[in-house]
Amino acid sequence: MLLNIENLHASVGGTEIIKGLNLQINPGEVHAIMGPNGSGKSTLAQALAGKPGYEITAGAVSYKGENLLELEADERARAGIFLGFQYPVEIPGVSNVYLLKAALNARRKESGQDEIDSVEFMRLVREKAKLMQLDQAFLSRGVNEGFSGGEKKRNEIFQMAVLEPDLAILDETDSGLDIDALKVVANGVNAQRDGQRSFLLITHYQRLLDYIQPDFVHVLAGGRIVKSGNRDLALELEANGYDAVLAAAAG
Amino acid sequence: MASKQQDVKELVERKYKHGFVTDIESETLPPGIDESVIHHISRMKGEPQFMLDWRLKAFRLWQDMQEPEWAKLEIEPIDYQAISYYSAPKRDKNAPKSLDEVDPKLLETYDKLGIPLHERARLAGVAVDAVFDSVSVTTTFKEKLAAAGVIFCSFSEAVQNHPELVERYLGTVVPQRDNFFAALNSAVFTDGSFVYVPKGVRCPMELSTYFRINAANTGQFERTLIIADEGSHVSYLEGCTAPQRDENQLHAAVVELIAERDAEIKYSTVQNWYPGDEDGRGGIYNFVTKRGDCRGDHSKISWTQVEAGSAITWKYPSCILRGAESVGEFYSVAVTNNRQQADTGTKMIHIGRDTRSTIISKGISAGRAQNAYRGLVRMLPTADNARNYTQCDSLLMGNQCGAHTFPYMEIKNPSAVVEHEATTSKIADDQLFYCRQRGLSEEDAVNMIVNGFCRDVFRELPMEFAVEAQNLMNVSLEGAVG
Amino acid sequence: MNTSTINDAIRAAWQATGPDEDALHEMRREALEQFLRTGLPTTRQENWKYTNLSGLAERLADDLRGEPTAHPSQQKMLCIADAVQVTFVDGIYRPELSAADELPQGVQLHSLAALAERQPAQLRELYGRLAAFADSPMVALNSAFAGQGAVLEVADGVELARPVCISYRSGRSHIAAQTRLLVSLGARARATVVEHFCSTDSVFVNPVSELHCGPGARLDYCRLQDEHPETWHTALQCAALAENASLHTTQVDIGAALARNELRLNLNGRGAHVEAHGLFMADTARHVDSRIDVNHLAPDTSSRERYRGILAGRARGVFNGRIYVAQDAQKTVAELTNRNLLLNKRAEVNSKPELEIYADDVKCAHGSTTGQLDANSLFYLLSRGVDRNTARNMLITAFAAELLTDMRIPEIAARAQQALEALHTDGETGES
Repeated sequence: MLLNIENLHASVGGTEIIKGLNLQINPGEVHAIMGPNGSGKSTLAQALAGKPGYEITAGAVSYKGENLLELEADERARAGIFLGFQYPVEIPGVSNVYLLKAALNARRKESGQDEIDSVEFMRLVREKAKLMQLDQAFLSRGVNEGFSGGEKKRNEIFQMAVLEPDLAILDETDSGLDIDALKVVANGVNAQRDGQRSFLLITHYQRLLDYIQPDFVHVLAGGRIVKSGNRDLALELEANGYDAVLAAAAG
Repeated sequence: MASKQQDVKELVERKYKHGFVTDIESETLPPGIDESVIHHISRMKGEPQFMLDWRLKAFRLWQDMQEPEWAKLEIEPIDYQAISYYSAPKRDKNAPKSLDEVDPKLLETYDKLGIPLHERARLAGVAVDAVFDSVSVTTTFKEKLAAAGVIFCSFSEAVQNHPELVERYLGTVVPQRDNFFAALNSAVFTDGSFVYVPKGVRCPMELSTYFRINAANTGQFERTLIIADEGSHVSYLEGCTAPQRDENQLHAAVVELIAERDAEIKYSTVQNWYPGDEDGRGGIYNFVTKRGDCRGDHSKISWTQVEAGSAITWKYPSCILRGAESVGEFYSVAVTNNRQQADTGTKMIHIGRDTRSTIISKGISAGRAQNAYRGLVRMLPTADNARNYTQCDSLLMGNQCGAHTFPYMEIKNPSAVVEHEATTSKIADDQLFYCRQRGLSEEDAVNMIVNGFCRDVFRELPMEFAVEAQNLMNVSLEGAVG
Repeated sequence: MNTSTINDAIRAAWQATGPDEDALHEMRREALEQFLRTGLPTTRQENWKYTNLSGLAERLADDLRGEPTAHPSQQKMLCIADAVQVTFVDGIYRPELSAADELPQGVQLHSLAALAERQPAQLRELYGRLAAFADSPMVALNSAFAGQGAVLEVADGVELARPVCISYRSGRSHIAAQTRLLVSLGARARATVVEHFCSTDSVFVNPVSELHCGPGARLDYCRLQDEHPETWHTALQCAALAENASLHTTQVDIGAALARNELRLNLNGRGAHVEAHGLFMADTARHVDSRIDVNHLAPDTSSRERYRGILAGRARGVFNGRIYVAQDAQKTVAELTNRNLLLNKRAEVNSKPELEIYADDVKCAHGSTTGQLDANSLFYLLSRGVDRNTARNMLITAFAAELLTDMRIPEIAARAQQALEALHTDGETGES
């Protein structure tokens, strides 16, 4: 098992948001977590990535058999967890490729590899940028600086493609994207599916799942997974709305 | 976690890396200042009468002046009679004719500082004037520059070989009476660099002076004069280091730049004088007057500074934009840590029509340091259609330090446009988390964000200095995080 | 006159006009001595670098000896709908022109002199608590002479719906009007206070206001300075905000030969918030100096300062805005902007926004821009057939519009607008 979450409780600013959540992800699986606004979807993503201020009050999370909760955010990243942010932050003056190279080398160093050769790095970056239909000029711009919403999201998937994580958590990567941008993002994700890499897709709408087929769909409400199923569950949500599905689950 | 703390501890305890002392026999005047000291300095340098008279006039003015108190600095009183005003490595002849005659210990010193003076190891494309305590040790690439008509030598040599140029330009930008420290410098300055770029010449290489304070209890008072004649172009770099000592040492330099019609001077500084220890013991008191005069139309003077060292920094590289359509620029990164204090900025005096100035200042304050930007933009009634844009950003690291912004804008011309913006903040938590989520350690993430914050200034530095400046920044902020 | 003759004359004036022994007599005497020691501020002092009071020195002793008039002029009255009116003429409270008794329960409005007589202890609680005369010679001068003024107290939880409008009118030349306003809002109290200064001849006006805002209190404070073009006006307001208190200030400076207005705000309690607006204008050879000093002294405080200056003729404008954040005032958010418009070739402005910050978890910013009317906008209006004068007035009003529309008292906004249109833009204009 790649990730095992048992009875997770997490609070932000003293308010409990995740209230006893269980989830298991095996290598190569794609899980989608859906839920109404305020159900705790983003909190789960941030807590798994180790964001300061997200307090784990109970429960356990093991990742590759180790206790994930003991690791700092950067240690989790170097262990292969990638978070695609819902709202990617702007970092003025730090160029995209500079950050990416530092991040890639940090990962390589962790696994005992040498730093990547500059020529090889640029070749890799160009290839992935092309996949995400990102312009070359984009690489030397400041991280997310002045990017449109769609560019920011494509940049997240582009970074994921370069860093090749073992577990990618994509937090509302589809929000704010038009249909063309959504296809580009979905293609980027699908190109990364290799039977080994696992994905946790967090989304409000079923639409994303038309393009990225999940193995499992979970419904999150009130800080817990209240229902799990396959792709049909997402369609049911779309057809009947969250309220009906939640009521049925409760009944 | 344990290993991380270890790293931080190691970093905090890492010492200023230029803090060594060169063991060399020096001729040093006993401490104290009076007219006889000035006579002595002038005689030792074999100066013509006009220089002696100029120094004495400055000294007389200085005696009636007061130290400026308006800066936001807390300074222990300075005993000007406890300072020695002249120190030079002992040598047989007046000046070494070639590097073979330079004391090998001096060459070794500059090697250790990463400024090789040997022909074979010289920095490609950079001519260096090495100033050690009160005197210039050597100047490289002189012949190559001479072929282009460029004069690049120590100030002392200029007084001997080009007295007419010195007499014509010295003190025309920073007069003796300008301020307390400039007056003191005018009285006792010992050496520095002199540059003259003749009409229409584009200086074929970067010029650079490397200042080193070595002797104890001495002040360093260097004077730099750069003249870019009509249509010429020159880029000049300045670096400074000093040994680690428990006493404070005084450094009061004056730099004068003159840009004639269509000329351009780019002046870059990486200031890394010894900053004192974590508790504020020792360190250089850096009181510097730097001013450029855009005398001719379409001239341009650009100051770029990275101020990382010194216990106290008091400096305001300025531009007098006299010529029509002349341009002044000031790009500054000032980083203070531990007990360092900096009060630095610029003055842009717009006199000519259609003059333009840009000020980009980035202040970073950590530890218990205080960092102030102080700037003046003055638009005189003659400065029709003049423009200024100022951006001052401050970054605070830890809540024991302070960041301050004191801009003065005096606008006496309605067609002038003056824009000023300033921000103060810390590194945003979400920026830090973003970088860490991509696998960077906290230290690396902070360095990356801080370097990004300074990027608009770093990219103004010549290539040779840009990398050094970034590394210096990382070293200066060690221990500021975590 | 040399300093010692001036001082003798000031001392004589103090003895002549100083009120009899009362609750504040000792404090007044100390303030006088303080002022005589320091004299008027000079341009060598950083806070007075651009504002020269040497012209005041020449007339000060005369003004201090001036006799108040009996019949004030009715010019430039400000009639605020539904306001509780309090009137001072030449610095003297005029009950027949005031209606301070029509107040709801929990609201007390006194003349300072009456309170000093009846409840000296209550007065001492408030007087001088925020404006210490040791800080400034002008406060010392006011403290030495200000036996007149108003005191407004609003009890905990009381909301005073009607604005209180205090008018300070002066009609006779060479008189010194030095008044003191003390406002104290209890916890969660609400009030709107207007101070209106107008003179119809050349006088010296040097008022001090002290505003206390209790926990959760909300104060709207508006100040209209509409003095005679030969009047010297130097004013200071100090405000202190307890936790979650909120203060909205509007400063409008229209007149005076020399006007200097200083607002000092202390955000003492967590969550306190200030919104400070200032509009200053001057033409001919007049001088206007507008200053604001915001001290964030507690966590989670916020402030926004917006100041606009419009200078015509040979006028000189000064803006100084300082944001100070103390070490434990974490999470402070402060933003200050100053924009200035120069309408004539010989008009000038000196702007100095400052940040002094000792806490790291803050977001503070300031910005300042100075320029002339935008040539493209002017051309656009001309091309639509608007005449030049109207077009210029439209653009000048537009420049001030952000502040005008936010003014809490419409009568003040109307007066400001009228004054903007009446600015003398003689001589070479600043249009490009």
